[in-house]
Amino acid sequence: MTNIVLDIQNLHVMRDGKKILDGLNLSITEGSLDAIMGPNGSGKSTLSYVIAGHPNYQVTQGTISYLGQNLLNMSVDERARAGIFLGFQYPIEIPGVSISHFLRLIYNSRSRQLGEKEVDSFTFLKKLKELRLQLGISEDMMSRSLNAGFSGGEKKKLEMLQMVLLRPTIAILDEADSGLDIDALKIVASTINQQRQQSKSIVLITHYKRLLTYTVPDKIHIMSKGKIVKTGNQDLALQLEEKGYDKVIKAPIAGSV
Amino acid sequence: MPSKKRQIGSGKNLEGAMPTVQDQIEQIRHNLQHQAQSINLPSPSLEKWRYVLPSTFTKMAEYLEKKTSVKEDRFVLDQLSHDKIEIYFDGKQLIIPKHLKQAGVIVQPILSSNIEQVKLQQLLCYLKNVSSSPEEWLTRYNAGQFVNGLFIHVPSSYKSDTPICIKLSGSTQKFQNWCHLIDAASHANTSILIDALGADESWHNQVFHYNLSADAHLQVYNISTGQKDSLLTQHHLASLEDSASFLMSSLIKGSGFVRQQTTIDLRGNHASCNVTGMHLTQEKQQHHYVTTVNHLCPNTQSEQTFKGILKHTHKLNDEKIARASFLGKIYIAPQAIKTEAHQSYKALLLAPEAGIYAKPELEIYADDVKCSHGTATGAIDEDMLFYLMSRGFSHEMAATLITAGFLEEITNKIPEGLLRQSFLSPISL
Ligand SMILES: Nc1ncnc2c1ncn2[C@@H]1O[C@H](COP(=O)(O)OP(=O)(O)OP(=O)(O)O)[C@@H](O)[C@H]1O
Ligand SMILES: [Mg+2]
Repeated sequence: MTNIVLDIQNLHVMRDGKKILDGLNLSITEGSLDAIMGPNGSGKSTLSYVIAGHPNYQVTQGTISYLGQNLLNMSVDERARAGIFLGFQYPIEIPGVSISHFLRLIYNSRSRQLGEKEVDSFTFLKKLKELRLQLGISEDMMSRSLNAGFSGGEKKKLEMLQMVLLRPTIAILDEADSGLDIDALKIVASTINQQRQQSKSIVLITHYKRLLTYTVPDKIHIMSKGKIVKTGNQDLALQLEEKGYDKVIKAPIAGSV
Repeated sequence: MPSKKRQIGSGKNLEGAMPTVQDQIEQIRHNLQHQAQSINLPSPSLEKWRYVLPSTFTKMAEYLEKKTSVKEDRFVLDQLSHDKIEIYFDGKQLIIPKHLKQAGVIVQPILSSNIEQVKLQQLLCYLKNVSSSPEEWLTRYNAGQFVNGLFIHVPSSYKSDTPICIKLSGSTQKFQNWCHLIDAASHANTSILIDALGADESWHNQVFHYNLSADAHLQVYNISTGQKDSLLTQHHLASLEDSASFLMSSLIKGSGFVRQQTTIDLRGNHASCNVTGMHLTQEKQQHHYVTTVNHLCPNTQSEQTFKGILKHTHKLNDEKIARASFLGKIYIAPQAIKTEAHQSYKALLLAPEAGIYAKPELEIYADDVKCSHGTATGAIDEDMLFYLMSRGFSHEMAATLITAGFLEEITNKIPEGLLRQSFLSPISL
């Protein structure tokens, strides 16, 4: 039996009096790549925030268990330290916080948790340079403030860099592919593939099948009106591209799991 | 120990002769001391004191009443790059780091038998011009009562990045008045780091007067990190001639009450100043900045950037929550055309109830000037907190990072090296 990393059952979530998630079920297994697709406003980002523990969302019903623990009892930082990573759809700009300083802090504190040695700034810079080059992030970005004034694509690359440094058990990547040029898209895909090889689970929220051709998901889930309404394989993405959400959602189950 | 009387009055006052500079100084101070007996404590009804809690005036009145006798003044003077040389002085002796002496920098107690004409002239000039406005009562009080202080003269030839560091440590006195005169000759260029460490249960009332001749450049870094029950009132007065530049950067942290007033007179063409300040204010503390920049000449420039953090954990009554204020005034005289003046104050609130007050004031009488001001206060951004916490930082650490980032606009201007370390060490990271 494959290990379930994240298990979401009958999740109902409200924000500011509005119901956004409405009985969502989703299980993520170890080392799997799951894609979630769905129309704008269907609640994909909400799901990612709730998994990460955003305080402004109220879970009114349902459970989320992570490696057997009740995730809903854990604070945002506890979840992060337990190995959950959220790549933001819209990364937050934090003025005055130097990126390289920030990256070293998160890398070393993660190392400490994992029982690994912290590295000095020289060693870290070497490592950072390697990853930077891999991800196509320019050096001058490193001396700037966290996300401040970055282009959409630059922000997404920086999210990937943080993911790699944080070595999460599961990463939820909310539209990691939006705003990326073709080269960057391939780089992101190969970064995701590397994570998979290390049996990390990845949940990819995306609107386009493009990324999914470079890194083929194990499952594709379609989300609509706050729940997962269909689960299938790569075919589903193709169908969506051809027919649009409305038809695919209403169509009788084909290739579903 | 020589008495105060002898220190000031060592000049002879012969019948009919022109009074010496020393005698004039003594006469002015005598008058000021006499006036001080009938001095009225200010109240929040005075504009420049409007945000000070009434209980503070009560406390001040108590100090004034039982002011203790002059015992000992303690200064520590050192230059950051050199071994620390501690100078204790009680009217006797002041040892100056050798290299400063060699460079012609004069450092000595302002009241001493050591007569430097430049010192006496400066002091006389300062005393003659002390404001009689009721709002400046503390400065005036200080002028009559100060027991001593430092006189620093930086000659034209002296140009150094290494700051002269003055630590004003707590002495045995409960209430003490100090007056420091810093004189930068034309073309001099130097930095001074002032570290005011107030002792518990004490009130330090300090005046700093900076005199910048033409083309002089002076950078002052001022840290106040007093004990929790101490009171600290400072007035920094700067006067700038043609093309002189004055930079002042302050950090207030600690002390029960700090009021830092800065008054800058841009008296010469192309004189410029850049004043920045930060306050880190917590439970029961009061931190007040009062600044006035007077543009008195054409082509003068000023920049004021202030930022503060306010933090308290409980909803408490008004006397107990943290309180901070910024009162900033820009005055542009009719003749001061082609002047540029900017001012901004921003505060970050880590508290459920705000205790922050800001009031910019512009008095512009000249045409063809560029002037701007702005204040903004806001709570810490929840999305920022969430983002950082989602990277594994605790709430506290995330808030610290955001806070340090908020102050970075000011802190990044502090030169690298030891100065930066000393200046920023109170901002724990
Ligand atoms: N504070 C709020 N108050 C009310 N409704 C909200 C609030 N925040 C989000 N919503 C609503 O919740 C719904 C789901 O939003 P969410 O961002 O999760 O969608 P999404 O699937 O990620 O969309 P997209 O594909 O455009 O990124 C939307 O209809 C949105 O308007
Ligand atoms: Mg979204």
